[in-house]
Amino acid sequence: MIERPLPNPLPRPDGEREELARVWQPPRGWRIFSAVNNTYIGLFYIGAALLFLVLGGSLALLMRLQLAVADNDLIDHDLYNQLFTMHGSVLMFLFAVPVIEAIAVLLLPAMVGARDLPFPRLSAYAFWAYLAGGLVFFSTLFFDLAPDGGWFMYPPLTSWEFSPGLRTDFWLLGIGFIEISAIAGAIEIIVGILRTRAPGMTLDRMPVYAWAMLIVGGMIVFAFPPVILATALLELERAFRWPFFVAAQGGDPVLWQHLFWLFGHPDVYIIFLPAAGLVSMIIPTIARTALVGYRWIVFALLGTGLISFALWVHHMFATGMPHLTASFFSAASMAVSIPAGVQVFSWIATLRSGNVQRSAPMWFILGFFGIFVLGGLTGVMLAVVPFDWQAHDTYFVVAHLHYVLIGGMLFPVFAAIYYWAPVVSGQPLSERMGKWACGLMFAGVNLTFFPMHIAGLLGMPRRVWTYADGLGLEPWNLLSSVGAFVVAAGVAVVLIDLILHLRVAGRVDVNPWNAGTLEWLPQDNQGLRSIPRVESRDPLWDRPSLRGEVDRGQHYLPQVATGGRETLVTHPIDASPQYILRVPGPSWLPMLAGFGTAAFFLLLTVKQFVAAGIGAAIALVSIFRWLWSSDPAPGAKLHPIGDDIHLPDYASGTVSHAWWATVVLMLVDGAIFASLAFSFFYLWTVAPAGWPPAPLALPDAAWSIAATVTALMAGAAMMGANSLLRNNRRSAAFSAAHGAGLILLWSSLLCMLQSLRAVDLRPHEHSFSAVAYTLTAWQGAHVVLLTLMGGYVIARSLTGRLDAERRVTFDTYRLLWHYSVWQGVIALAIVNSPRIV
Amino acid sequence: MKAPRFTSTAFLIWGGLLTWAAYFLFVYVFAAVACTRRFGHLSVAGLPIVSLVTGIATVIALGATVALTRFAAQRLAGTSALTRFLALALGALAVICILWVALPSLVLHRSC
Repeated sequence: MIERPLPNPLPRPDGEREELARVWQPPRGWRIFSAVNNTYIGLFYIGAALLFLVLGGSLALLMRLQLAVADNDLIDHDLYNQLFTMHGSVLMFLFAVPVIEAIAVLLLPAMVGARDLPFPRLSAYAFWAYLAGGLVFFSTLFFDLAPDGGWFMYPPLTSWEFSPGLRTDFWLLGIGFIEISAIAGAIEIIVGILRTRAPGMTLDRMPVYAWAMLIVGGMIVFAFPPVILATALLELERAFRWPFFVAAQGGDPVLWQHLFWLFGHPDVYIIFLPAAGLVSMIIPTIARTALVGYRWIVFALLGTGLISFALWVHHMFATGMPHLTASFFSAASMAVSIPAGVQVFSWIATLRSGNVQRSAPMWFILGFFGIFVLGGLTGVMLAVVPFDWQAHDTYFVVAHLHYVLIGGMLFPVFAAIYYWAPVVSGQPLSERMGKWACGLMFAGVNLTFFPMHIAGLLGMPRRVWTYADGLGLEPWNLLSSVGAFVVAAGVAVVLIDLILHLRVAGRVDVNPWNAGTLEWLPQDNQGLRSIPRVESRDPLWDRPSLRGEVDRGQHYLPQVATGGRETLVTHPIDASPQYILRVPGPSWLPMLAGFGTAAFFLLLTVKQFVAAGIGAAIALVSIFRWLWSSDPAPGAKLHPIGDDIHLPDYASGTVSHAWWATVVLMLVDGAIFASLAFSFFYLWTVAPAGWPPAPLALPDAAWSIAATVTALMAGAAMMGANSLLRNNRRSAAFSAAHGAGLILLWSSLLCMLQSLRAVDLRPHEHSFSAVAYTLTAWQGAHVVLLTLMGGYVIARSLTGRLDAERRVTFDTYRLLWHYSVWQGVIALAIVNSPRIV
Repeated sequence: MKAPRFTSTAFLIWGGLLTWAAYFLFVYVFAAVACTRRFGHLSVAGLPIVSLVTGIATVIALGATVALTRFAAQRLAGTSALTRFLALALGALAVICILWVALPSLVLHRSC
């Protein structure tokens, strides 16, 4: 077979490598915190997530001390309530989801052959908001302000009536913006995987971990919005008495459970699938053979991802739902074991067909197998409705969920730390310490959680701060408490190993496991010296010379083409090169914006409105300032990248990565809106008398029609403005069309509001009016956002930064505009829908 | 060769499972509304209404899944082997899921 020539010839021009290193030079000293590229943000992120693992885990140790013996009075019930709420919330929201995104931020670009993620400042912003907000959220424990309603915060326990004070508000607002941070990470990951893969890395050559993170990114997009909405609704109820969950006023506390578990159950898979992806990467290397059933594993990831959205009600079997509907969810809960099982069999087959290295990552993976499979089996038991009724809210469930989460997530993450540490520091962690850690954790987890099954079956309810002597629970609880400290010892060994042996190296050129994927190529702050042409799934195994070729600059884009940091944007399916993406360098703005966002939400919680406003202003100004430089002028010429391919350094429309990110953002936005629509129809379904009940009236028809017409006219005005810009007429006509659109958008919003006020609907009277006002307020938030963006677009137009070619900013704005128009029209249709019944 | 479009490829791969998702949502919402609005106890030709509607929906969903999967397999012929395989395998999984979800309505005589 004739071999294709490499994309770029030797010798490379003098100074090419040095120039590349210069533009990617990381900041020095304390300025390192202004770094935005993935190698630094990924490490910061992992460090912060591990900190929250320690903090959340420490709370578990306190709880186990309290439960070690019967009738213990070490911790009172009030503090205990705060401890278990914070333990669950911190580990689910501040450790589990962030750490999977953190690992992706660190590893994905190298794994898919990109120099960086497509929106480095967005990653940095998400990280700083998460760190600042998470630390403040955790410190509420020290001020007796920590939430105490359990990590799923069911109303009415958390309503204004039964949970006065700020504790619940800290959870609602604190967790709310941490979810926003997670969504920002998901957008980054999705666009990064789909658009920045190395040329030739088609979908069927994509590493399994990239598949897993792509699917998980999509799951975050659809799973997090329901809980964002739920937290907003409960906060509105607590702050303004809008009765979404108050049965006496047409609300329903079970609505919260639906919205929470629409997030909560996929969240389990959001945590598990990346871990499964990590396992699928480690096992072939450790077994020194290709992954058996690559296609089947991708199939399993896709199948599990979608089916996991149909399981949420299995957390609600005890709410008194009809038998048949419970059975549907029971069946779906069992169906998901098919794709999940396929993965396990593929892993076993790979191990069986290879020659397994007995290393620390391997031991952690074996621990994962044992513990996760046990958790999965008790999951199948709990999917059986009658059994669930018996075990519901007992320690059996506590045992099940910890087996699933620790087995399915913590063990693979620790395996990943031991496996990929050389990518960061150029040398492995201590094998000896890794094996000790794994042994301690495996023994500790079983010692802690296996007895909980028995305690649960003996009738011990979860979340009790003590139990009476003589119930037969003493030995099981004592064993669990001892086990918890053994787990802690295992975790401590890992952390000590990291402190002793992990160093951030500059250039890294190692491959101790002889792995086959791209992250094991020589790396520096810029990632790879040249971006490889990928021809197989395990390129380092199939082309041993690739290492040298890439490092000599013989593959794509070995040079600095545009004078700054760059990576390649490729086609989402066949990964053919499309354009050069100019990525931003270090900046303090993401940190400022992150701190401002955290300050806004947290100060709002303590009702410091002026200070919260200042926080919001800091966040907004920082974001607009960083955006100002993010749509640079297109270069005049095409740039050679190798293989005789010449690429532009700018793209707009559907080719642009910004377009893709905006579409993903609209999916998030649409999912929040769909959750609100679901709330409306759910409350309608359970309403005992009329919707709305007399004497409440439906929104005024004439004002509703006026709102619809003006919204559609606003959409037409934007189409007109777009047409004028396309023809490069940055004249008064463009400004007039744009301005008219904004006026129409505001008119539509005011008509929408007037349709409610004209019939004297008040949001605090009934759940119908509360949802109707929330739909209007949600539309109002979009109109305000579009107005801010409109001002920004005008500023860019006036300064010559917007024209027919340089128009990514306008395209983003236009997409959100049309989305908002149609959202408004559908919202009006929803609140008026009872007319047709 | 022109690269395949991402959106249409994604829908072709997911077609079967999305049909299952729509089916699942429909049978769940119908059963829930029937029980909440107190018409779940009604029978048509001796069959409980919820079981009857679930049965009809099952037949339609199965037909749609098979048709969509066949269509996807034809449209994806000539593209990568992985995308075609995924369309077929996910279609098969969807068929199993539909049958599985439909089973309770055959064995449970009381819907509500």
